[in-house]
Amino acid sequence: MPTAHPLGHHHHTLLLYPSVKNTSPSSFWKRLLIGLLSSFFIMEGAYQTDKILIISQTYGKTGSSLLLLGSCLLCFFVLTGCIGIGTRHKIYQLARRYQTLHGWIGITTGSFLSISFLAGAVTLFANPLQEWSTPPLPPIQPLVTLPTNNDTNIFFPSQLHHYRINLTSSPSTRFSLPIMLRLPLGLPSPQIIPRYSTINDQSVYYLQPTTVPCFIGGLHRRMGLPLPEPWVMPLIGIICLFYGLALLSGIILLLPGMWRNLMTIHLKGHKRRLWLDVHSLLGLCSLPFHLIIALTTAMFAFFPLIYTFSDAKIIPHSKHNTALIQENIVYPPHLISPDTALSYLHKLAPTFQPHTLDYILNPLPADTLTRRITLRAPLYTPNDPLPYTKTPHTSLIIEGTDQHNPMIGRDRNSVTLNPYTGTLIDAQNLSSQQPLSRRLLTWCLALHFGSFGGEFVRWLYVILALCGVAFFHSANQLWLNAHIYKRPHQKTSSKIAIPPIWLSHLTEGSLMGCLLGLCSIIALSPFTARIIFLTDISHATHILNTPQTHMTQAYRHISLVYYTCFGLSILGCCLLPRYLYRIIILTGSATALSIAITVVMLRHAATQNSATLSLTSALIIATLSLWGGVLYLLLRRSPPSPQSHP
Amino acid sequence: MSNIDEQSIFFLIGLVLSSISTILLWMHLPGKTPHPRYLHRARGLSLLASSAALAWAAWIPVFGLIGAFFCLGGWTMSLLCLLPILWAIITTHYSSTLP
Repeated sequence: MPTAHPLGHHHHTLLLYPSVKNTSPSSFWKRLLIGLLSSFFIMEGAYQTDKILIISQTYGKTGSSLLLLGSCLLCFFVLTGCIGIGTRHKIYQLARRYQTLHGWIGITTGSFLSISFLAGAVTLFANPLQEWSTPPLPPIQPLVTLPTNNDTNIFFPSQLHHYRINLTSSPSTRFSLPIMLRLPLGLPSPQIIPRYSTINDQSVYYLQPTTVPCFIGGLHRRMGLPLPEPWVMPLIGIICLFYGLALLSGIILLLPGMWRNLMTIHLKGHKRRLWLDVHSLLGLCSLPFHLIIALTTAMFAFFPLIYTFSDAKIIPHSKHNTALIQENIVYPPHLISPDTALSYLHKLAPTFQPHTLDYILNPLPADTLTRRITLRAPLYTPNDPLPYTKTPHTSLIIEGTDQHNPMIGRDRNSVTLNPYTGTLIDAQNLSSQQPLSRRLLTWCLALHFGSFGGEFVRWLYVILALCGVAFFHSANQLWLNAHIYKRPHQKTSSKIAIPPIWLSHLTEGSLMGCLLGLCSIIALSPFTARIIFLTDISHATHILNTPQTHMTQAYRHISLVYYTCFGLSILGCCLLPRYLYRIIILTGSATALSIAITVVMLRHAATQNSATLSLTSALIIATLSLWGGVLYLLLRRSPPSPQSHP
Repeated sequence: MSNIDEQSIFFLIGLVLSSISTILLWMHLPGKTPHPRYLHRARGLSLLASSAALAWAAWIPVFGLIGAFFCLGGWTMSLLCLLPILWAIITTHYSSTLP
C-alpha cells in the first residue's frame, strides 16, 4: 500500500494486535474508577433533582424517566471522557487509550448482549407467538349482548367479573373471561370462553395460554441470566453503561482509518481481518440503533432503583379509602356496547386500531386504576392530583395498535373509559392524545421496542437485532483471535493461551445454546397451550382457584427445558470437536423449528391472521437458514481439525 | 381506490425510493463500493437527497411524519449493514470464477 495513510495503518495495527499498550495499568484503572464514580454521582444527582424539583409528583413517571434518560446519556459521555482525558492530542494516540478497554468490554458483555438481542428478535413476535401456539377454538356462537352483573353473579364465580372481547380473532369477535388481570412474572391469565348459545348455557372452554412468549421476554430483559429480575437489573444497568462506553470508544477507534475502509469486507485472507471488517461495518452502520438500545435499557435497569423511593409518594395506597369507596359503588344494570365504545374511540383517535376490549367490573382492593395502567405501561402513572387514581375503579380498557403513532410497547396503546357511561377516564397511553413530554418518552420507548410503523418496523427490527447478534459475536471472535494465537512480539513457547480457549467455548456455547434453547421452547409452545371443554363452569372450581400455580409450573418447565439446552450446548462446545458440535446444534435447532411449524400448520393456526402468518414466514425463513447452515457445514470439503478456532 | 390500497402504494413507492437513496449513499461511501463512471459525485448526491426526501414524503401518509423518518433511518441502516456483505460475496465469487 504505497499511499496508505500512516494513521490508518496504525489503526489496524492497534486492532489486530490489541496487546500494544500506551497507558500504564494503574492510570487506566484510576480513570475507569473516576468515570464510574462520576456516573454514580450523576445518577445520585438525578435522584436529588427529582426530589428537590418534585418532578415525579408534578410530571409523574414521564418526568422522572426523561430525567433519568438524560442522566444515562450524560453517564455515557462522562465515562468515555474520563478514559480519554489527557495530554495526547493525536487521534490515534487517543484511540490507543481506548483499545484494551473496548476489547475487554466486548468479551465480558458481548455474550450477554448477543443472547439478549437474539431473544429480543423473537420477542418482537411475542403476541403472534401466543396466538400461533393456541389451538383454534371450535366454532362459537357470536356474542349478541354483553352479560350484566346479575347474569354473572348467578352463573359465574365471583372472580370472573372481567370480560374480554378480542377483535382480532377470526371469523368473529371472541368473548372471554380472564381469570385474573395479570399473574406474577407477567404471565398471561387463563381464560374462560363461554359457548354462549344462550346465557343459560353453562358449557365453557378453559383456555390456558402458553408461557413461552413470557419466558422469552424475561430472557431478553435478564440478558439470559437465570436470576430474578430485581436482582439482575443493577448488573444490567452497569452492563449498559459499559455498552455505551464501548460504542463511543468504538467510534474513536474507527476514526483514524474510517474513511478508507468503511464499506470494505475482506472475505479472503486472515479471519481476524474479516471479523474486524464485519464488526466495524455493523457497529458503525447501526450505531443509532445501538445507542438508543443502550440508553433505554440503562433507563429500564436504573429506574426501579430510583423509583422505589418516590413510588410511595405518587401512589398512596389507603386501605380505608379503598374499602369505603367500594361499599358505596352502585353499578348501573347495563354496560355500554362495544360498538358504542368503538365509535367514540374512532372519533377520539381515528388512526387507533383496537384489538381488545377489557370490561373490568369487580375491582379488587389492590386493583386500582393506577396499578392497571402501570401493568400495561411500566413507565407510566397518572399524576398524583387526579383523585380517581387512588381508588379501585370499574373500567373499560381498550388496547390496540396505531401505525401512525408510537406505542409504549408492541400492541400497547390503550385508553380507559367508564364501562357504564362511556366517558373518558384516561388517555395518557394513547399516543395521539399525549402532551409533548410524554410523547417524547413514548418515542424513546417505541424506538427500543420497535412499536411504531406496524409490520414493516417489526421486520426491520428483526434484521437489526440479528445484525446486533453478529456485531457482538464478531467482537468476541475478534478479541479471541487476537488473544488465542501467539502474537508476533510474544516470546512464550505455548501457542495457545488457556483462558481464551475457555472463553471461546463459553462465547460460542452460550450463543448456540441460546439458539437451541429458543428453538426448543418454540417447538414446545403448541403443546403447552391447552383448551379444555367443561360442560359446567362449576366443575372448574379447582382450576379457577389455582391459575397461578398452573401457570407458574408451566413457566418453570419451560425454563428448565431452555437452561438444559443451554447447559448441554456449553458442555458440548467444551467436549466435542467444533465442526461436529456446530452440526449437532444447528440440526437440533432446525429440527425443533420444523416440528413446531408442521404441528401448527396441521392445526390450521399458522395462518389464522396476518400476525401469525408473519410469524410463520419468519420461522420458515429461520428454519431454512438453519438447514442451509447444516448443509454448508456438511458440504465443506475438509472439516477443520479439532484444534482450529474461529 | 380504498384507503388500504393507497397506503400500500405509498409504502411501495417509499420502499423503492429509500432503497435507491441507500444504494446511492453506499456508492458514495469510502471503501470497496461500485463507482459507476457516469455517476458524478454532485449528481449522485443530489439524486440521493431527492430520493430520500421523496421516500420520506411517500411514507408520511403511511407511518406519520416522525414515524416515516425513523422508518427511513431503520431501512437505511439495515441495507447499509447488508449491502457491503452481499457485494463482497458477489465480487469474491466473480473474481474467483474469472480466468
